[in-house]
Amino acid sequence: MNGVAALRRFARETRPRSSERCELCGAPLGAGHEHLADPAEHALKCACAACAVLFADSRTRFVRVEPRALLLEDFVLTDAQWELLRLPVNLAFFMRTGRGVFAFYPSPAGTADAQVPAALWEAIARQNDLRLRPGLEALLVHRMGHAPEHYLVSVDHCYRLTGLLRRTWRGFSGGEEAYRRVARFFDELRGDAHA
Amino acid sequence: MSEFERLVTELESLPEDARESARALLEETLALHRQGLSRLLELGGAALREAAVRDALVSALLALHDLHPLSVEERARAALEQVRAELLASGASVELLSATNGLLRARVRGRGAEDARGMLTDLLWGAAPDAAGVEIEAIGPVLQLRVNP
Repeated sequence: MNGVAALRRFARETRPRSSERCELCGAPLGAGHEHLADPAEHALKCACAACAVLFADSRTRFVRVEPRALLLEDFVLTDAQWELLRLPVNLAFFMRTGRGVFAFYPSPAGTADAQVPAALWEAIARQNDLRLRPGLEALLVHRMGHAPEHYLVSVDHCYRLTGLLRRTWRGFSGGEEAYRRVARFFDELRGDAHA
Repeated sequence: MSEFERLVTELESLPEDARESARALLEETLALHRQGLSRLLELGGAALREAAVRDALVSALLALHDLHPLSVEERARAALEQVRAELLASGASVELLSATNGLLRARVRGRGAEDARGMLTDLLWGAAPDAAGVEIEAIGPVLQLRVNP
Protein backbone atom coordinates (compact mmCIF):
# COMPACT_ATOMS: atom_id res chain seq x y z
CA MET A 1 0.00 0.00 0.00
CA ASN A 2 1.25 3.49 -0.72
CA GLY A 3 -0.25 6.95 -0.51
CA VAL A 4 -2.07 6.91 -3.84
CA ALA A 5 -3.43 3.44 -3.17
CA ALA A 6 -4.60 4.53 0.29
CA LEU A 7 -6.34 7.56 -1.19
CA ARG A 8 -8.08 5.40 -3.80
CA ARG A 9 -9.21 2.96 -1.15
CA PHE A 10 -10.57 5.68 1.05
CA ALA A 11 -12.46 7.37 -1.78
CA ARG A 12 -13.97 4.00 -2.66
CA GLU A 13 -14.76 2.94 0.91
CA THR A 14 -12.74 -0.21 1.02
CA ARG A 15 -10.41 -0.56 3.91
CA PRO A 16 -6.75 -1.29 3.28
CA ARG A 17 -5.94 -4.96 3.36
CA SER A 18 -2.94 -4.85 5.58
CA SER A 19 -1.25 -2.49 7.90
CA GLU A 20 2.31 -1.71 7.06
CA ARG A 21 2.94 0.29 10.17
CA CYS A 22 3.52 -0.72 13.74
CA GLU A 23 0.06 -0.65 15.28
CA LEU A 24 1.49 0.58 18.58
CA CYS A 25 3.88 3.37 17.63
CA GLY A 26 3.18 3.90 13.93
CA ALA A 27 6.71 3.19 12.74
CA PRO A 28 6.92 1.80 9.20
CA LEU A 29 7.28 -1.97 9.08
CA GLY A 30 9.31 -4.23 6.85
CA ALA A 31 8.10 -7.53 5.52
CA GLY A 32 9.35 -9.76 8.30
CA HIS A 33 7.93 -7.76 11.20
CA GLU A 34 6.88 -8.94 14.63
CA HIS A 35 3.39 -9.66 15.96
CA LEU A 36 1.84 -9.11 19.36
CA ALA A 37 -1.13 -11.20 20.31
CA ASP A 38 -3.88 -9.84 22.49
CA PRO A 39 -5.37 -13.11 23.72
CA ALA A 40 -8.24 -11.48 25.61
CA GLU A 41 -9.44 -9.62 22.52
CA HIS A 42 -8.49 -12.29 19.97
CA ALA A 43 -6.50 -9.71 18.11
CA LEU A 44 -3.12 -9.73 16.49
CA LYS A 45 -1.18 -6.54 16.04
CA CYS A 46 1.69 -5.91 13.66
CA ALA A 47 4.56 -4.48 15.67
CA CYS A 48 8.04 -3.09 15.13
CA ALA A 49 10.92 -4.85 16.88
CA ALA A 50 11.17 -2.24 19.65
CA CYS A 51 7.46 -2.38 20.55
CA ALA A 52 7.43 -6.17 20.36
CA VAL A 53 10.09 -6.33 23.06
CA LEU A 54 8.81 -3.40 25.11
CA PHE A 55 5.14 -4.36 25.20
CA ALA A 56 5.70 -8.04 25.73
CA ASP A 57 8.13 -7.44 28.59
CA SER A 58 6.00 -5.01 30.52
CA ARG A 59 2.75 -5.86 32.25
CA THR A 60 0.42 -5.40 29.32
CA ARG A 61 -2.14 -7.68 27.83
CA PHE A 62 0.11 -8.31 24.83
CA VAL A 63 2.15 -11.42 24.24
CA ARG A 64 4.92 -11.59 21.67
CA VAL A 65 4.22 -14.16 18.97
CA GLU A 66 7.10 -16.44 18.11
CA PRO A 67 6.35 -17.70 14.62
CA ARG A 68 6.43 -21.44 14.50
CA ALA A 69 4.83 -24.39 12.81
CA LEU A 70 5.28 -27.89 14.05
CA LEU A 71 4.22 -30.87 11.99
CA LEU A 72 2.61 -33.30 14.45
CA GLU A 73 3.48 -36.53 12.71
CA ASP A 74 2.04 -38.86 15.33
CA PHE A 75 -1.10 -36.87 16.02
CA VAL A 76 -4.21 -39.02 16.36
CA LEU A 77 -7.56 -37.65 15.30
CA THR A 78 -9.74 -40.46 14.03
CA ASP A 79 -12.28 -40.10 11.24
CA ALA A 80 -14.97 -40.82 13.82
CA GLN A 81 -13.76 -37.96 16.02
CA TRP A 82 -13.57 -35.67 13.00
CA GLU A 83 -17.18 -36.55 12.14
CA LEU A 84 -18.23 -35.72 15.69
CA LEU A 85 -16.80 -32.23 15.26
CA ARG A 86 -19.45 -31.74 12.55
CA LEU A 87 -17.45 -29.31 10.47
CA PRO A 88 -18.71 -28.77 6.91
CA VAL A 89 -15.20 -28.60 5.42
CA ASN A 90 -11.95 -30.53 5.76
CA LEU A 91 -9.88 -27.60 6.91
CA ALA A 92 -10.00 -25.99 10.32
CA PHE A 93 -7.91 -24.64 13.11
CA PHE A 94 -8.72 -24.97 16.78
CA MET A 95 -7.99 -22.36 19.42
CA ARG A 96 -8.54 -22.20 23.13
CA THR A 97 -10.40 -19.07 24.22
CA GLY A 98 -11.80 -17.84 27.51
CA ARG A 99 -15.05 -19.57 26.63
CA GLY A 100 -13.62 -22.93 25.62
CA VAL A 101 -12.14 -24.36 22.47
CA PHE A 102 -13.44 -23.14 19.12
CA ALA A 103 -13.02 -24.50 15.62
CA PHE A 104 -12.51 -21.93 12.88
CA TYR A 105 -13.18 -22.95 9.30
CA PRO A 106 -13.83 -21.35 5.92
CA SER A 107 -17.43 -20.71 4.85
CA PRO A 108 -19.16 -18.71 2.10
CA ALA A 109 -19.52 -15.82 4.55
CA GLY A 110 -15.89 -15.72 5.71
CA THR A 111 -14.36 -17.64 8.56
CA ALA A 112 -16.98 -19.32 10.68
CA ASP A 113 -16.46 -20.60 14.19
CA ALA A 114 -18.07 -23.31 16.22
CA GLN A 115 -17.56 -24.28 19.82
CA VAL A 116 -16.07 -27.72 20.26
CA PRO A 117 -17.84 -29.89 22.86
CA ALA A 118 -15.56 -29.85 25.90
CA ALA A 119 -15.55 -33.62 26.39
CA LEU A 120 -14.64 -34.27 22.78
CA TRP A 121 -11.81 -31.77 22.90
CA GLU A 122 -10.51 -33.16 26.18
CA ALA A 123 -10.39 -36.63 24.64
CA ILE A 124 -8.48 -35.41 21.58
CA ALA A 125 -6.10 -33.30 23.67
CA ARG A 126 -5.47 -36.09 26.15
CA GLN A 127 -4.70 -38.77 23.60
CA ASN A 128 -2.14 -36.45 21.97
CA ASP A 129 -0.82 -34.70 25.06
CA LEU A 130 -1.77 -31.40 23.40
CA ARG A 131 -1.83 -28.19 25.41
CA LEU A 132 -2.66 -25.04 23.48
CA ARG A 133 -1.62 -21.69 24.87
CA PRO A 134 -4.86 -19.62 24.71
CA GLY A 135 -4.87 -17.03 21.95
CA LEU A 136 -1.30 -17.87 20.94
CA GLU A 137 -1.33 -21.35 19.47
CA ALA A 138 -3.69 -23.40 17.39
CA LEU A 139 -4.10 -26.92 16.15
CA LEU A 140 -4.36 -26.75 12.38
CA VAL A 141 -6.00 -29.70 10.65
CA HIS A 142 -5.74 -30.19 6.91
CA ARG A 143 -7.77 -33.03 5.40
CA MET A 144 -8.48 -31.56 2.00
CA GLY A 145 -7.88 -34.18 -0.67
CA HIS A 146 -5.23 -36.25 1.05
CA ALA A 147 -4.24 -38.00 4.25
CA PRO A 148 -4.92 -35.79 7.30
CA GLU A 149 -2.13 -33.54 8.49
CA HIS A 150 -1.92 -31.87 11.86
CA TYR A 151 0.17 -28.88 12.82
CA LEU A 152 0.77 -26.93 15.96
CA VAL A 153 1.06 -23.36 14.70
CA SER A 154 1.50 -19.91 16.18
CA VAL A 155 -1.49 -17.63 15.79
CA ASP A 156 0.11 -15.49 13.07
CA HIS A 157 -0.13 -18.43 10.67
CA CYS A 158 -3.84 -18.69 11.46
CA TYR A 159 -4.34 -15.05 10.56
CA ARG A 160 -2.38 -15.55 7.35
CA LEU A 161 -4.51 -18.55 6.42
CA THR A 162 -7.70 -16.69 7.34
CA GLY A 163 -6.73 -13.77 5.12
CA LEU A 164 -5.93 -16.08 2.25
CA LEU A 165 -9.25 -17.87 2.64
CA ARG A 166 -11.18 -14.62 2.84
CA ARG A 167 -9.74 -13.57 -0.50
CA THR A 168 -10.07 -16.84 -2.36
CA TRP A 169 -12.75 -19.05 -0.79
CA ARG A 170 -15.94 -19.15 -2.89
CA GLY A 171 -19.17 -20.89 -1.95
CA PHE A 172 -19.26 -23.87 0.35
CA SER A 173 -16.50 -25.96 -1.18
CA GLY A 174 -13.98 -23.19 -1.82
CA GLY A 175 -13.32 -23.59 -5.51
CA GLU A 176 -10.24 -24.32 -7.53
CA GLU A 177 -8.35 -21.14 -6.72
CA ALA A 178 -8.81 -21.59 -2.97
CA TYR A 179 -7.65 -25.20 -3.23
CA ARG A 180 -4.51 -24.15 -5.03
CA ARG A 181 -3.77 -21.39 -2.54
CA VAL A 182 -4.37 -23.63 0.44
CA ALA A 183 -2.14 -26.30 -1.09
CA ARG A 184 0.61 -23.74 -1.53
CA PHE A 185 0.17 -22.49 2.04
CA PHE A 186 0.74 -26.02 3.32
CA ASP A 187 3.61 -26.65 0.89
CA GLU A 188 5.37 -23.71 2.51
CA LEU A 189 4.60 -24.95 5.98
CA ARG A 190 5.87 -28.45 5.15
CA GLY A 191 8.75 -27.45 2.90
CA ASP A 192 10.59 -25.74 5.68
CA ALA A 193 10.71 -28.90 7.74
CA HIS A 194 13.52 -29.97 5.44
CA ALA A 195 15.17 -26.56 5.12
CA MET B 1 3.23 9.82 -0.01
CA SER B 2 3.15 8.38 3.49
CA GLU B 3 1.43 11.58 4.66
CA PHE B 4 -1.58 10.42 2.63
CA GLU B 5 -1.65 7.13 4.47
CA ARG B 6 -1.41 8.85 7.83
CA LEU B 7 -4.28 11.19 7.02
CA VAL B 8 -6.43 8.42 5.59
CA THR B 9 -5.92 6.39 8.76
CA GLU B 10 -6.85 9.47 10.79
CA LEU B 11 -10.01 10.09 8.74
CA GLU B 12 -11.04 6.47 8.98
CA SER B 13 -11.03 6.67 12.75
CA LEU B 14 -13.52 9.59 12.72
CA PRO B 15 -17.23 9.11 13.51
CA GLU B 16 -19.20 8.00 10.49
CA ASP B 17 -20.81 11.38 9.66
CA ALA B 18 -17.51 13.20 9.56
CA ARG B 19 -15.87 10.38 7.66
CA GLU B 20 -18.61 10.38 5.04
CA SER B 21 -18.35 14.15 4.56
CA ALA B 22 -14.61 13.84 4.05
CA ARG B 23 -15.13 10.99 1.64
CA ALA B 24 -17.79 12.89 -0.34
CA LEU B 25 -15.53 15.94 -0.63
CA LEU B 26 -12.67 13.75 -1.78
CA GLU B 27 -14.85 11.97 -4.33
CA GLU B 28 -16.05 15.26 -5.80
CA THR B 29 -12.53 16.60 -5.98
CA LEU B 30 -11.23 13.43 -7.60
CA ALA B 31 -14.08 13.48 -10.13
CA LEU B 32 -13.25 17.06 -11.10
CA HIS B 33 -9.55 16.24 -11.49
CA ARG B 34 -10.37 13.13 -13.46
CA GLN B 35 -12.40 15.11 -15.97
CA GLY B 36 -9.63 17.67 -16.32
CA LEU B 37 -6.89 15.07 -16.69
CA SER B 38 -8.92 13.12 -19.16
CA ARG B 39 -9.39 16.24 -21.28
CA LEU B 40 -5.68 17.01 -20.99
CA LEU B 41 -4.76 13.57 -22.31
CA GLU B 42 -7.07 14.06 -25.29
CA LEU B 43 -5.62 17.47 -26.06
CA GLY B 44 -2.01 16.28 -25.76
CA GLY B 45 -2.41 13.21 -27.96
CA ALA B 46 -0.08 10.20 -28.15
CA ALA B 47 3.08 12.14 -27.40
CA LEU B 48 1.75 13.37 -24.08
CA ARG B 49 0.46 9.92 -23.11
CA GLU B 50 3.86 8.32 -23.78
CA ALA B 51 5.71 10.98 -21.81
CA ALA B 52 3.17 10.74 -18.97
CA VAL B 53 3.67 7.00 -18.62
CA ARG B 54 7.42 7.44 -18.22
CA ASP B 55 7.06 9.95 -15.40
CA ALA B 56 6.54 8.16 -12.09
CA LEU B 57 4.54 10.97 -10.48
CA VAL B 58 2.23 11.57 -13.44
CA SER B 59 1.89 7.83 -13.88
CA ALA B 60 0.70 7.47 -10.26
CA LEU B 61 -1.72 10.36 -10.74
CA LEU B 62 -3.25 8.70 -13.81
CA ALA B 63 -3.57 5.43 -11.92
CA LEU B 64 -5.35 7.23 -9.08
CA HIS B 65 -8.00 8.34 -11.57
CA ASP B 66 -8.25 5.09 -13.54
CA LEU B 67 -6.84 6.88 -16.54
CA HIS B 68 -3.57 5.02 -16.97
CA PRO B 69 -3.10 3.85 -20.56
CA LEU B 70 -1.22 0.72 -19.47
CA SER B 71 -2.94 -2.09 -17.57
CA VAL B 72 -2.06 -2.97 -13.98
CA GLU B 73 -0.42 -6.15 -15.29
CA GLU B 74 1.71 -4.34 -17.89
CA ARG B 75 2.96 -1.88 -15.31
CA ALA B 76 3.71 -4.65 -12.82
CA ARG B 77 5.72 -6.57 -15.42
CA ALA B 78 7.67 -3.47 -16.39
CA ALA B 79 8.43 -2.69 -12.75
CA LEU B 80 9.67 -6.22 -12.05
CA GLU B 81 11.88 -6.09 -15.15
CA GLN B 82 13.65 -3.11 -13.65
CA VAL B 83 14.78 -5.02 -10.56
CA ARG B 84 15.23 -8.47 -12.10
CA ALA B 85 18.95 -8.08 -12.84
CA GLU B 86 19.72 -6.67 -9.40
CA LEU B 87 17.84 -9.52 -7.69
CA LEU B 88 19.56 -12.13 -9.86
CA ALA B 89 22.93 -10.71 -8.89
CA SER B 90 22.06 -11.30 -5.24
CA GLY B 91 20.83 -14.82 -5.96
CA ALA B 92 17.05 -14.39 -6.20
CA SER B 93 14.60 -14.63 -9.06
CA VAL B 94 11.23 -12.94 -9.33
CA GLU B 95 8.18 -13.70 -11.45
CA LEU B 96 4.69 -12.31 -11.78
CA LEU B 97 2.30 -15.20 -11.12
CA SER B 98 -0.97 -13.53 -11.97
CA ALA B 99 -2.83 -10.25 -12.18
CA THR B 100 -6.39 -11.55 -12.10
CA ASN B 101 -8.96 -8.88 -11.19
CA GLY B 102 -6.14 -6.47 -10.46
CA LEU B 103 -4.71 -8.62 -7.67
CA LEU B 104 -0.97 -8.77 -8.29
CA ARG B 105 0.74 -11.93 -7.14
CA ALA B 106 4.45 -12.35 -7.52
CA ARG B 107 6.93 -14.90 -6.29
CA VAL B 108 10.50 -14.26 -5.26
CA ARG B 109 12.67 -17.26 -4.82
CA GLY B 110 16.22 -17.75 -3.63
CA ARG B 111 18.66 -16.07 -1.32
CA GLY B 112 17.29 -13.06 0.53
CA ALA B 113 13.78 -13.73 -0.79
CA GLU B 114 12.19 -12.75 2.50
CA ASP B 115 14.15 -9.49 2.61
CA ALA B 116 13.14 -8.66 -0.95
CA ARG B 117 9.47 -9.03 -0.14
CA GLY B 118 9.03 -5.54 1.33
CA MET B 119 10.95 -3.91 -1.51
CA LEU B 120 8.83 -5.73 -4.11
CA THR B 121 5.59 -4.85 -2.33
CA ASP B 122 6.51 -1.17 -2.38
CA LEU B 123 7.66 -1.44 -5.98
CA LEU B 124 4.39 -2.94 -7.20
CA TRP B 125 2.17 -0.60 -5.20
CA GLY B 126 4.24 2.26 -6.60
CA ALA B 127 3.80 1.10 -10.19
CA ALA B 128 0.16 0.14 -9.73
CA PRO B 129 -1.56 1.96 -6.87
CA ASP B 130 -4.80 0.98 -8.59
CA ALA B 131 -4.10 -2.73 -7.99
CA ALA B 132 -6.71 -4.58 -5.96
CA GLY B 133 -3.92 -6.02 -3.83
CA VAL B 134 -0.28 -7.02 -3.85
CA GLU B 135 0.90 -10.38 -2.61
CA ILE B 136 4.51 -11.40 -2.66
CA GLU B 137 5.31 -15.00 -1.99
CA ALA B 138 8.85 -15.48 -0.74
CA ILE B 139 10.33 -18.92 -1.04
CA GLY B 140 13.32 -19.16 1.15
CA PRO B 141 13.78 -20.03 4.80
CA VAL B 142 10.43 -18.47 5.72
CA LEU B 143 9.48 -20.53 8.74
CA GLN B 144 11.34 -22.40 11.35
CA LEU B 145 9.49 -25.63 11.14
CA ARG B 146 10.56 -28.25 13.58
CA VAL B 147 9.38 -31.81 13.29
CA ASN B 148 7.73 -33.25 16.33
CA PRO B 149 10.08 -35.54 18.26
